[in-house]
Amino acid sequence: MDITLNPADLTHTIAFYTLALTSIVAALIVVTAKRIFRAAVALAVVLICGAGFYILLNYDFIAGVQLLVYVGGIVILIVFAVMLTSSLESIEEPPSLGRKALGLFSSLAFLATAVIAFSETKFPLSSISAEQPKDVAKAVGRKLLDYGAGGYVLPFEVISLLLLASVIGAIVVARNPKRKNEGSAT
Amino acid sequence: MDKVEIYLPILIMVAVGALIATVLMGLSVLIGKRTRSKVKMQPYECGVDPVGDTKHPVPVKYYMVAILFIIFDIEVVFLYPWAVIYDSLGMFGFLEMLVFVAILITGYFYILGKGALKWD
Repeated sequence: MDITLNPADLTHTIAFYTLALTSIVAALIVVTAKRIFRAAVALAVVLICGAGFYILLNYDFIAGVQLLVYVGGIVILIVFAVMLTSSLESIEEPPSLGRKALGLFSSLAFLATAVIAFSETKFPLSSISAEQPKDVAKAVGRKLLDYGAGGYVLPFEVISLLLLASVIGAIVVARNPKRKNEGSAT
Repeated sequence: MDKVEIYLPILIMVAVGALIATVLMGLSVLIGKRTRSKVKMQPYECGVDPVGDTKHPVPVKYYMVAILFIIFDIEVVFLYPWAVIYDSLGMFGFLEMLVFVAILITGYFYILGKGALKWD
């Protein structure tokens, strides 16, 4: 094995293993934390590490999106969901045997799917890194608004419909039915 | 390596922040005086005795705001790659984004119409 590493590769390797270790530890905390709020905070750490991986892969824009949407949005949403349903400091009861079995089954199924998917898929690393764009945001934009072959302008417009659907869905699901009754009664 | 140059300041800031928090909390544990009388351990709200339980569920309207924030957050994410290449796109890019934003504006007016952003 070649052990003469140049400094750039060394920093890269150190950064990668630091991030990998942090995300694994934080992921374990997410699963094992008794207090659900601590699990949410640990999830934020996992997602921040994910952004770090994107930076290591030179996808700075994707890392920014990860921070903006997942860390800044989804985790806040999870915290709100926790606050809505129970108190923040509530300690989860140990699950019943049936739920444990179900959890074991589904996590094993997911593990099997992931392992099969990773082993079956061929990752052409060299070709991707060779044609990796210098400015990711510009490349994404060009691909997104490209109406030629291989462009994504239709999916781009469909995304706005998807977001519209989620706006309406959010209102319909979370609308306070009590207020509606009050309105009809008066 | 320029990536190190870009992200080293961020790392230093994170490290300094963590250090300040650890040092300040550690110092207060180490050299602080600990008095554990009954009055001292009592919870307080600006000198007033607390009213009720602090552990109650939060109204659903906060969740509505959060979920709508995320949706428009994602919209901004799509605006960004469009904005950086706007110069080279011309009229077509402008119209595409106009359609995109128009569809989402419909959602915004739907929200306003349903009164989801009203606080009471």
